[in-house]
Amino acid sequence: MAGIAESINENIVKRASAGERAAQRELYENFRDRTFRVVRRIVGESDADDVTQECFLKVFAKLPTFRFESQFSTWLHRLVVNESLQHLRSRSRRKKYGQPILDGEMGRVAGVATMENAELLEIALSRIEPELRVVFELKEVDELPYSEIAEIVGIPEGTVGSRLNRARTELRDQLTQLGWES
Amino acid sequence: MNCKQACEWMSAYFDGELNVSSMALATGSDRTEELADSAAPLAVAIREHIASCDACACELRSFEQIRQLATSQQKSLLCPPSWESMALKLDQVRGMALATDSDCDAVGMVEPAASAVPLIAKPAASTVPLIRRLALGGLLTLAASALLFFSLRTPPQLEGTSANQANFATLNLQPLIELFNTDSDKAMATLVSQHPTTDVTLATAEAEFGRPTFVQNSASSNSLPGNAHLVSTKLVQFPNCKCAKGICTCGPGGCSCVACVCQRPDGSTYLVLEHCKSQSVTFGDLPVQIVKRGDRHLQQVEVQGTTAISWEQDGERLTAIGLRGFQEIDTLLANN
Repeated sequence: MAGIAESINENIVKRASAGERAAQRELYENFRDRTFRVVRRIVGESDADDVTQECFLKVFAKLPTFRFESQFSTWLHRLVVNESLQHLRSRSRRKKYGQPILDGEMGRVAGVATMENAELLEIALSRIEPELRVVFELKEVDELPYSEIAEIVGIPEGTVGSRLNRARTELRDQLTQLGWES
Repeated sequence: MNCKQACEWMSAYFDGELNVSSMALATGSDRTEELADSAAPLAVAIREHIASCDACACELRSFEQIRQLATSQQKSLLCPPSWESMALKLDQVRGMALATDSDCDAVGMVEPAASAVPLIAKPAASTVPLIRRLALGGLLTLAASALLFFSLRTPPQLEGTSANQANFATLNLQPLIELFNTDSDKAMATLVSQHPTTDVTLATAEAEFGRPTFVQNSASSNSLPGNAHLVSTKLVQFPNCKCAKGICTCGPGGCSCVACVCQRPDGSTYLVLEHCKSQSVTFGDLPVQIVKRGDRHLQQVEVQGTTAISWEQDGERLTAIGLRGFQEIDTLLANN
């Protein structure tokens, strides 16, 4: 992440802010993978494409308000997390993200014996609160320090720790319920 | 220290974040000297507690196992939207904003690859005061974003699938293009292994496709690009092969995309895919140009002397891989 942050200089942000398409492309291509991953984790695969593009529309529209008082990556990440959570909240009409395919009596996911661990984690993550998914993703996948996670999510550093506690214990419980053999 | 206290700090301990600042923020204390004194002993106390408590040691091990699980996940096969797709969205928003901006000069749809075009552009010679322009631009951006948002939130109802399954699978063509250039047989074998595929005759393809395919049109007039001849025809189901009625034209009762391999007289081959319009494609990390030829906007990439192009027309998407030179491209386009 540091590499990306260093490669995005003030000049590129200002040019993109002025609407220069080449600079917008540079920003997009530098951050799209990470953004897509976070968006996908929060809103699910079905909406990830659309929400990723919505996020960048908002990023480009709001670039003039970026004051270089924080790292650009942190600013962008905060916007992406907020936009994704907002999308999730407004999706009340639609089917709940990642609703598991439960065998009612057994309380286990159908076909669990053939499921890969990655699939189990996907399902387990879909069952915990979005706010917990976010901090888990930022810590375990992006490997961000608590201070940066706190800035992105807009919570105190201490709350990052407590949310990670909940995320990990709830994930462990869900994984166990799914038949995960650690 | 008891288990409850240890668990409270378990993540911070596990992540190596048991420091003064996190404790200060967590406790709301600004007595940094006291906290500095207590942070290290806290870590020691937790370590000692874990050493003597099976339950907490088990908790810590489960954190490590979940971390291993999360970090060992295979990279998702799904790709983020390409820049070309994003640029088109920007143009849509810009177009909608400008179309409703009576203070602007009329501006037509720009070339997707056009550079130095602001999201909300104003002619430099405009006499509208700057503040008004900015305010108006902001309002129009919001309005356009809202329009776009709602248009994206209401996908057409699909047949045999839920609405929120639509438009999520982008087909990354980079591996296919790169492999096709070096070993077309292996590339086709990989395609077959990744998507439900059936070998068919051209006649069957036409019946399944619901109308004559490009290759059929070209073959009947002996006008396949590069004087090639058809060597194989396959029906393929790509990730978005569940289009709503009217969205695609690649099949009367469901999607039936067609993949045709054509061979030139020198033995080299190219591949033509006729697939669903709703099937978005990406070329991965390959440099893509948006090229306008006639009234079509092509996504075009050059790889090792060959060209791959993809474009939408008449309710379907066509993609050709392994073309050589503009003449083959123009012949392909002329036959469609």
